[in-house]
Amino acid sequence: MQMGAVGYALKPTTRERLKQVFEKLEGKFTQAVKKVLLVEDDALQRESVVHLIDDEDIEITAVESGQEAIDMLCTTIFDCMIMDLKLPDMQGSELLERMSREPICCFPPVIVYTGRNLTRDEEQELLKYSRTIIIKGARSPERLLDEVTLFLHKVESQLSSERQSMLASVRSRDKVLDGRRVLLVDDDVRNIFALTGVLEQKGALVEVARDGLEAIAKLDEIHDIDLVLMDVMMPVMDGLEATRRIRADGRFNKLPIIALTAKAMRDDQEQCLNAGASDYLAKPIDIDRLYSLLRVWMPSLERL
Amino acid sequence: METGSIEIELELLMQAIYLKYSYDFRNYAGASLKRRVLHAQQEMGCSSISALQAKVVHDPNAFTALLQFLTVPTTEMFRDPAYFLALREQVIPFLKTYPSLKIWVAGCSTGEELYSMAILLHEEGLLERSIIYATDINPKSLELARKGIFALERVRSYGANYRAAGGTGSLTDYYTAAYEGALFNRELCENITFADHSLATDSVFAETHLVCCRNVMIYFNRELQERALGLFYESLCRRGFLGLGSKETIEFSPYANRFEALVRAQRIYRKI
Repeated sequence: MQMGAVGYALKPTTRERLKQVFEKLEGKFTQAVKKVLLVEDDALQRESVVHLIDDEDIEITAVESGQEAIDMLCTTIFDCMIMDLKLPDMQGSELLERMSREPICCFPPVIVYTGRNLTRDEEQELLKYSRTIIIKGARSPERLLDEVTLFLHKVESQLSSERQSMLASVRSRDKVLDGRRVLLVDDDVRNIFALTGVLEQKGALVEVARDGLEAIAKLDEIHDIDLVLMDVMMPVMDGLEATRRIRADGRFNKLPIIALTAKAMRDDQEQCLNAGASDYLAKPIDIDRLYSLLRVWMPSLERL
Repeated sequence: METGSIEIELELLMQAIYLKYSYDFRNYAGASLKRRVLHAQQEMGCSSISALQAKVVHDPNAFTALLQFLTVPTTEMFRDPAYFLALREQVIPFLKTYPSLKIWVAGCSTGEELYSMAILLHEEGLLERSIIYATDINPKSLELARKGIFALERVRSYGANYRAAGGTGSLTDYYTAAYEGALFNRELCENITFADHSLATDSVFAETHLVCCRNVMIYFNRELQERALGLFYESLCRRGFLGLGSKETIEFSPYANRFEALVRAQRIYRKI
């Protein structure tokens, strides 16, 4: 997904530094103006956001409805999109979903700016398309400005790296993971983004569960999971307990489970193995080591 | 020289503990560690630190006992009320802009600080959408924290702190008193994940919005303090918050320029 490419590097701290970056880019690219699409039905809110982020090198297009937003996205490349969830003609989630399948020019980084609290499921659903969700409140304007600033100055390097990664993925498609289904059990958004990215780049199909209970439910529901990556420290049910329960089920006695542990203690690693994990990998995860472990543990294809 | 041999014995003891039990106290601050070990030696009836070492290496129960001396839980609820007031007034409004939150209470000990945090989040309407990681190296402390039972007499004395910290109700709303004990409401714990985690040897496990680690690093030497700050830095999201104890600071550390002071007097910092 395009949105998965939103990284964490490069953080400007001050307006001055941001200005410098823009000046640099201006020299390099003819089009230095950044285009922001704002989707907000409330006129007052719309004005206040425009006022907040307006700058000489930012061009803001404000629309009121989801349909207008899609029309704009079909004709113009935007560097960033800010959207309210409550729109007159459709829900914000529907707009995002339509953006993902309709022929728009480019799926921009999306900042969801909403007045209401979200359930965990709603949040998870939105995080498929948007890394940034801001709940409106006393300090939200400050955070919105901060996030917009971040996206706008990252755009150039991000676009180019997106192209690069497209090329890279053609070259490095690893047959071992190609088309294999991996269940990633982790509650950390950052890990999910990062690991899903590297696994999908190798052609793997990634299913995500956020805790042990969800993992067990996923295994029941999806029958062709080839391997499980299991974080140890999770809410509701931790990785050790989940691994024990999965192993207790006769269907899964050969399923490779790799525990992801933040602990350096040998004890902890032994605990993972005692719980039934096939192997373990220490965090922070070294991608090369992950690949080699996956290569070792991925069951050879009998289905083909 | 008498003092010299104590230092040697101390170092050997810490090395032995590390090799045998993987608990790493080798970078704990010398003076307070020495005091604690000498206290433990006396209480555990050993004639020298070396004798204590022999006992600990051969008897895991003795190690568990020693661990209680090494990680002395000295904590209270809403300790330094001004810190909690600053969290409430200056950090919470930012946390409210996130749809869901992760908070790491590192070195949570027996949980007084943890429950204070949970109460604060509850009163600000954030507890339901938060996951709190409460970590410590002492399994006994963690078990006590998980139970959430404190001496009633002490809890009564926390009322004043609670009010000074901007509490909107009464502390008594949050616990049930029975048999000289105060049992804190289980709802406060619903989103707390208790885990054994060492700042000396383990790594980051989640992206967090707020890390609280108060009065833990004062027991560390410089090297270990830097390691801990590195973990917090790595764990925090962009513009995430860090709360330290009143005698702790990130100034003069390699991380000084990676954080800005949000409320310097209360040791509340923000990742740049």
